Amino acid sequence: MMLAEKNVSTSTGKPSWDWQRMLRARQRRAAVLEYFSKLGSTQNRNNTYQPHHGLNRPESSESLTLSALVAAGAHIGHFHSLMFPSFLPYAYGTRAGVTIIDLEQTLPMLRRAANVVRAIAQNDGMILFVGTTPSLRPIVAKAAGRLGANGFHVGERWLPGTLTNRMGLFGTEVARSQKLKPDCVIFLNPLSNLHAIRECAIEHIPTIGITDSNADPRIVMYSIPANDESVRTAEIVAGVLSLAGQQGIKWRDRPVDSLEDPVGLDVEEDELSEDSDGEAEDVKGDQA
Amino acid sequence: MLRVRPALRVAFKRVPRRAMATDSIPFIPPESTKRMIRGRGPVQPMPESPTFFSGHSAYLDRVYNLEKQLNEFTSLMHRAHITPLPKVAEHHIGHVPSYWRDVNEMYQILGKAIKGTQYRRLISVLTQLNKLRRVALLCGREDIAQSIEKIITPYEKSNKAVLESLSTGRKRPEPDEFGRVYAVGRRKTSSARVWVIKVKDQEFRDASDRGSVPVASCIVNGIPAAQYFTHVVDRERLFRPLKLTGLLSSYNVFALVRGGGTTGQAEAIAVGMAKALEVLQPNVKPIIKQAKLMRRDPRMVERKKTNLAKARKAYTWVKR
Repeated sequence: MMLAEKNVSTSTGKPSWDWQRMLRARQRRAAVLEYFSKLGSTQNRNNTYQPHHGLNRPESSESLTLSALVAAGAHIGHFHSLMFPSFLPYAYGTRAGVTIIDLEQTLPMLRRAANVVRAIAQNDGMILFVGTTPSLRPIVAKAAGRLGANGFHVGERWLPGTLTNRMGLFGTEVARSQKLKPDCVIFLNPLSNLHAIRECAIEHIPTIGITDSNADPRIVMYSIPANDESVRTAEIVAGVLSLAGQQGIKWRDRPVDSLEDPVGLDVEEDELSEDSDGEAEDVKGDQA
Repeated sequence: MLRVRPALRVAFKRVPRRAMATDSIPFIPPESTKRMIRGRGPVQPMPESPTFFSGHSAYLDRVYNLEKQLNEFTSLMHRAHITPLPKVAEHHIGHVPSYWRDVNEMYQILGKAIKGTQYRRLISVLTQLNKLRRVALLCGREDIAQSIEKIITPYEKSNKAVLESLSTGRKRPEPDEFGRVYAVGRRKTSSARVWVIKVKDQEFRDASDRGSVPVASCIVNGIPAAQYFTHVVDRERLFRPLKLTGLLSSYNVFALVRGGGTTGQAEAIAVGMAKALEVLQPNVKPIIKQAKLMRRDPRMVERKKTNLAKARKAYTWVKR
């Protein structure tokens, strides 16, 4: 045969593809790999970094390291001539014509923002994640999902008037019956959402945002100077903040004996244990 | 923090107090304190959907949910060793027919009108899910196929079964029990019915026969092609598919052609021949496709227009 004919059966010339044979070959290969992966190195797919770990395995603000931020490219800013003058305190220097962001300042600012999110979530606040590019869409959705009923996200274009024109956009009934003002808005790409930031300022809503070297860090309340064009950085930041929010919600929803403390009088256990048992029994006897 | 005398503190801990109507501090059930601000009273409930602030919340919820399920099923297929499919297998999936609801019918499901771009995004996700379902079926995994079907069925037309039975689809020519393939080719006003059959392997009777090459014949309207097409150019056009693929002596061709002139008839037969060859030997498809032999040439004679001598030719312009 002149040309390869492995997919053509000889009798009728009808082309065929043996799906079952393909499956069996693959299963055999997988079984062999599985057997031999137990031998030798203990490194496997689960304990090695995979690209999807940024989205699904968030780091907490305490465990996040500078190396992780550098690996994500969070220190790479924009061209030095595009640096916003107010950004100077957060710039480490320039390299290859590009502003390098000082991550030793970024990390504590990120932790501060995480504390804010944790406290807001603890007090049953509404937290809104905004990331309007296609690459940021799954990140904000996942981050909001971690906060359950308190988490919201905007992955598409921000509709002007979402906060300032609530009646017009959502209708008067919905605007009056539901809480439509978030308690915190987190921007993963603030420069593309300046209208949204302005709306938050008008409505007195605290904002958190990843500010790059070409952005004014003062546009948001709690800025996180880092590379806004890096998807891995956005994953880390959204992961840290959403995990902090999750911790706040867990603390809020922790089981409390309701009969003991119905109105939240904050009776401290330490002071109770100081009393002797004899006294307690006497009191009990009197009441009976 | 409220400071309480030791005796009362102990009472609070050891003896659960019964709530009385005359209590200065009323008993409030803990569940009701969830959405209250101390001193300010109850707060309005938050919106249900996490995409509330995006606008088009109902539509986005569905699309995000479908995309999430698409990801889940893709990883499920990965674990079942079905995907990633080799490139060759992609060709054998075939056309996956789909009968999605149109924009107006989607309005009934979503409760809100959606624009064209939004509809196309929804359909693209559904099409990907449908393709996964077909691959799962081909690999014998009915369970995966059924779970995908449960998700996509609400978006399919209610009379899908009727539509499926009505649509014949584009029939791909198939070889019959003798190994003959029938195809139709057209060019200008000619239409050709072409049968292509593989030449039988000759048995060599003795040593003198070894050097002989199997002869293939091409008969058009009962006449050998060399006699029917007197011009060499037409003959070249006719045998182009076989020449380019190097299968001149491998296949016999029988054609019945009507209409048009010599060029049109020759090219009509060539198109039919190319279609048949593609079925008989699928590996020649890239060669035929690149030579544009599969394409029915859409050029037809342009009509004459009024005030013009011919289709394009204008009458001589006269100054006065």
